[in-house]
Amino acid sequence: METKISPYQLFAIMVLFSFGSSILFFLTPDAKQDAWLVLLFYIPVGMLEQLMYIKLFYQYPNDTIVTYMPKIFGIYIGSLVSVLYIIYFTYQAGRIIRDFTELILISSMPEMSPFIVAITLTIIFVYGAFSGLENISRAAQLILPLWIFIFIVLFLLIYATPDVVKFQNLKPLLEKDIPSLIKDGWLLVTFPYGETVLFTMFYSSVNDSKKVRKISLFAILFLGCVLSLNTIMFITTLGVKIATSALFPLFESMRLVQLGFLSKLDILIIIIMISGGFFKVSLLTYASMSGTAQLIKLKDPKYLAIPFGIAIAIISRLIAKNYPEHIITGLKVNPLQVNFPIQIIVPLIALIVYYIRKLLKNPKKHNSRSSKNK
Amino acid sequence: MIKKRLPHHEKPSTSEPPDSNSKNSSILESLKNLMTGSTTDNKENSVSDSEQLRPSEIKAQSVSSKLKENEQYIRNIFKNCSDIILREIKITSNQDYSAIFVYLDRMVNQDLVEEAIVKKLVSQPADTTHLPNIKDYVQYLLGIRPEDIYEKMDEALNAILESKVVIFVNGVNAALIIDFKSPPSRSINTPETETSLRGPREAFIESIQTNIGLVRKRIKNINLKIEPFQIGRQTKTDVSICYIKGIAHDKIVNEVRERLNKIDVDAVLANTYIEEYIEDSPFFIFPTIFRTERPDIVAGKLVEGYIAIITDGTPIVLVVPYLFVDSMKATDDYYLKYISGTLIRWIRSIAFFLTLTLPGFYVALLTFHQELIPYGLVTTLIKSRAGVPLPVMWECISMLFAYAILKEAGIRMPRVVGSAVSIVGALVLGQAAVEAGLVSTLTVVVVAFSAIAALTTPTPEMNFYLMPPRFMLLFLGGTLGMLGLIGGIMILFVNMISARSFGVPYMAPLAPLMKNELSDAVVRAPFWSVLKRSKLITRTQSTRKKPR
Repeated sequence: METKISPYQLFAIMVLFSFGSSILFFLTPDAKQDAWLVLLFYIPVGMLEQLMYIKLFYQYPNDTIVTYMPKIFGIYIGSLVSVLYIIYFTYQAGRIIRDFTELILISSMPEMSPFIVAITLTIIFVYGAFSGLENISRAAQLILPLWIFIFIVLFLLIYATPDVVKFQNLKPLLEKDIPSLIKDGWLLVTFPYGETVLFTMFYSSVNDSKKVRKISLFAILFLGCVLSLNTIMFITTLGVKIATSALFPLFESMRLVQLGFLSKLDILIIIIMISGGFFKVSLLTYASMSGTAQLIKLKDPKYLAIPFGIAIAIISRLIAKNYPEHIITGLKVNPLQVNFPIQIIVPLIALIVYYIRKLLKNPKKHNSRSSKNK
Repeated sequence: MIKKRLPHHEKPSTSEPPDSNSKNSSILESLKNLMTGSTTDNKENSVSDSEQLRPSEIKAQSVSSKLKENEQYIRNIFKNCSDIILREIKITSNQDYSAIFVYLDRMVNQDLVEEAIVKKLVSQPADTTHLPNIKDYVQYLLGIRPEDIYEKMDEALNAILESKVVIFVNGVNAALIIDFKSPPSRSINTPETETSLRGPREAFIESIQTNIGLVRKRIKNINLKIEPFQIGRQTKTDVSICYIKGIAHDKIVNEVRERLNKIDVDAVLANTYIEEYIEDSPFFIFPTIFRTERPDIVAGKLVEGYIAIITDGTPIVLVVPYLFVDSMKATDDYYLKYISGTLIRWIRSIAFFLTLTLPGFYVALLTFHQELIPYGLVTTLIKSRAGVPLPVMWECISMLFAYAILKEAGIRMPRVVGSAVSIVGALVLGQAAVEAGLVSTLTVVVVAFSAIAALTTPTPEMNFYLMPPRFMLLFLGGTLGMLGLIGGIMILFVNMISARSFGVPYMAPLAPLMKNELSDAVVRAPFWSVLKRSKLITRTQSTRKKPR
């Protein structure tokens, strides 16, 4: 592959991609004030998923999920699975555009037409995909420290504002027992941890493939910890009831900052939102573009950005009539019917099929084949 | 002293058919016109323009051993060029040894010609006759290099056009060239646009030799290489690339060479002509080639591994590659102590960001996000905006437009009417517009601030490059609010990241992030702490000096 990114750039895009939307929401509302604990419990699960993806990647170090699926399942079923993944990435991009459209409409521009907002967002985000993975990851590399800095400042400000943070909101600790908490939070397997299935498209672009495992596991750990801290902030500032029912708790809690002249930090939030959405959608779009290019043996996926951009903008409007419907699909229907199979079952089956084929075949023969692939 | 101007006579030469001679003269005339800037009679041109000269005809012609034939040939070629001077002398005052020397009027150092050629050749006593080898005699007497002796006529003609002195000696079938070049030029002045508080006060001038000298003076190093090129079919402009071998990366030097060789253009009158041909991405909004008029900057860049392109006739030198962080660096950073140098660099970067985004931010805030305006400011805002007819976006756009007009007028106006323009600009467009209620005071403040902030960038023309993105962000902020503004910034940012300058990423070392390179990008680290040269430019980790 031509485009190469460094391990640190992989870390930056992984973190920014996962944060992009997950930081805005209150994850695992069923767990109530123990949500932050559940997030921590699920870090090993996220790591296991990551290990599964990376195991597959190390079998085919020069392939993406779109190109190794035909090698595992055979050309017909495999290509079908690959097309499924491309559709999934495109659909996800559409969903996220919808998320951010609604967020921007609700938070800062209630009078704007949703179509215009969706089109603007699509243009901004797809431009990133147009410029390619290398440039997206360079931007991520520069923006990640900036993001972390803004978050630290926001955290400090909100904890410095008097009478906002109430740590007693975290009590009672462990109201339910741990098994039921884990049962409550099972959706975390698909979001945010399962979303990293996207990076099976990008592992082969990393110039130092030995570091991929370490870096991606570290990214998951970092993600889990920060999300847990974020959830603690939601609970302590808003209280469990408001935090679980608010559409965008990050937004609500940041509005509470009131420290001298430092108030109304909405601008910072909008910056965080748009830059987060940028990485999320542009990476998803780029994945579906490059996947298509790899399937139809196109050299430069650059100009596929235009049809995919149009498709994503249309999908974002078609998936739901209104925001509640969108949310219901996102929380109830999607995880079971779309995310779980795509993110876990298919890669798992692929891994199993791969090992079965390896067992059935002569191990020596297999070795010669894998060396050919390199 | 022998000094006579020979009149033109139009007898066709014996060796050449008359037809081809008139062709020759026509193209050379037009060449001459370009060089001297004189306008010759159009009648003559229009007649001979229909016939095209084939350079092979001149190329085939070699220098004759008969003096008269050479003289005739040159006269024919330079027909209607009144600035050509042919002078005949007798070497050692001997009637048998005559020589002609040819040069362009006012393009050579007249005193030197008299002193070093005429006197030396003529003043020898007449009794040292029977020179065994007249060519060697002239060559060693005048100290002419063997490579300056041409046997082909076209080379000799080129030498004349390059304002060198060409000597033809009777009985010798070669032309001897002496470089007494001294075309009209001005003396070295102080830099006018890139001012510095404590830096040196020399600036480049229009002569390439002087410019190379100004650089060479600062870098006394055998590895400072200066490679000559000639670009421009009509103008044959001298262009040189300078670099320090061993520091500059060979790949980039080769890239520059290749791109210069690819240029095929009629005229190179300034180095912008070259710039547009060798740019990486013509549609990118910011420049990817650095221009400067200060030799100290060029010397500083060369030592870091950059490559300079010096063009004859332009007091500006191009330096490649040019990265974004370079546009935030000013010479004064290095002439100040490093803490204040760093601070000033940060201020400049903030100003750069503000000048782009401030009008857009202001408009977005007032149009879409009124709830974000601090309470204290609301009353002042309402007061100042009361009775202003235009919506804030159009108000801002028209003010920026007025500023652009004022700036353009300021550059074009003759110095004598300067005060009138500034009074009209400041009073009529500023104060009076506010008092008449055409624009609000806050808008004037915002626009004026963004205009002033643009002037902090050390590159003077950055001003012009900042204008389109500023208008764009303003428009986006006014139509789509914060979403449009931040989206516009994102797109601009990604665009900047994807740009390249001679293969080096434009935003490096920020994106891709290179920790080791940041010591001269984000901060101005003290000289003694910067031990390594930039790996971006030199591609190899070369050290400036060993750590103490």
